[in-house]
Amino acid sequence: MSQKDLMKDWFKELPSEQPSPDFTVKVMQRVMTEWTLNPIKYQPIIGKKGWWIMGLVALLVTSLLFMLHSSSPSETVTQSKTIYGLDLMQLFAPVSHLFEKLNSISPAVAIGALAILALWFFDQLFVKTVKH
Amino acid sequence: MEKKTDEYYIREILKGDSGSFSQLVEKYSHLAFSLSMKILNQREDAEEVAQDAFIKAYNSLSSFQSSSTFKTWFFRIVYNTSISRLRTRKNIEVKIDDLKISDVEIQATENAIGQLNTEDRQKYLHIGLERLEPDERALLKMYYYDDFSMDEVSVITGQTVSNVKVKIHRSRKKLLQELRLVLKDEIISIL
Repeated sequence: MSQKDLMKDWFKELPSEQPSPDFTVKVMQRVMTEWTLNPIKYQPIIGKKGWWIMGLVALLVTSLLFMLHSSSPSETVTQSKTIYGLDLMQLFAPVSHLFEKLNSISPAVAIGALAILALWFFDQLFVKTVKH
Repeated sequence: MEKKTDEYYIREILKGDSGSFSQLVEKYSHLAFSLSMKILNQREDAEEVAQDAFIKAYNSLSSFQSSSTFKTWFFRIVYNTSISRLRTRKNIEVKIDDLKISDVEIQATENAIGQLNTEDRQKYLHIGLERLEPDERALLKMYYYDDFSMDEVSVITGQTVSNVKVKIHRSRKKLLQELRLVLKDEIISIL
């Protein structure tokens, strides 16, 4: 046996030094305190910037569709506009149909829906202000 | 209960299960305390430092790179925390290394220790270690007791491998010199 191994053996004979029995409990208490002080912060999947971009894109698409719809005379509805082989009129037909339906909504219903949306918006705003 | 790897518990903690940290504390508490004890030589301080090291490890767990093992990474934290505590102590006695022991005397001392019974060997080894500098005790403990390789000791202490080699060699020699002084009577009688 080499000399190094002898020293190793002698060290292994030394009794292991143990901390107090409640060592783990003490550490975990401190860990939990740390955790309460710095909890894992909620990070939304889509950030504020993302929502803004999505909103702008949605607005752009809606405006485009609206312009497309209003520029097409009713008698030429059957005429097809194609871009790269895609029949736009056919593609946007369901959306166009929706706009037509929206046009037929009575002003009272529209104002009611807008009021509900505004109430919901102010409620969310109020909840956020109270939390911070 | 089935034992999981350190990496498994680390993943669970990072996912938000702080309770998994208790598994790592259970596994490494005595090794951390024992290393800290070798450096500080004071039970209360060693326990406090070992606790601090665990908290530091918990807080910086997200920065742990699996290029090294958790054990090595954590021992580096324990070592640095213990050394920092040591530096805050006032009136640290600075001993000047003076190795006067010859190779023949080293051999004779080793033979004498080898012939002691386990109980006496433990007692004298403990006294010998007490006489060493804190970092010398820590190096010997990591290398001979915890079975860390020279490379791992180098990572833990932040010193170069060659520096670690020299220091372990010197610390070993110094321990034998101290043991020779303690065992003087016995060695003389054996020789």
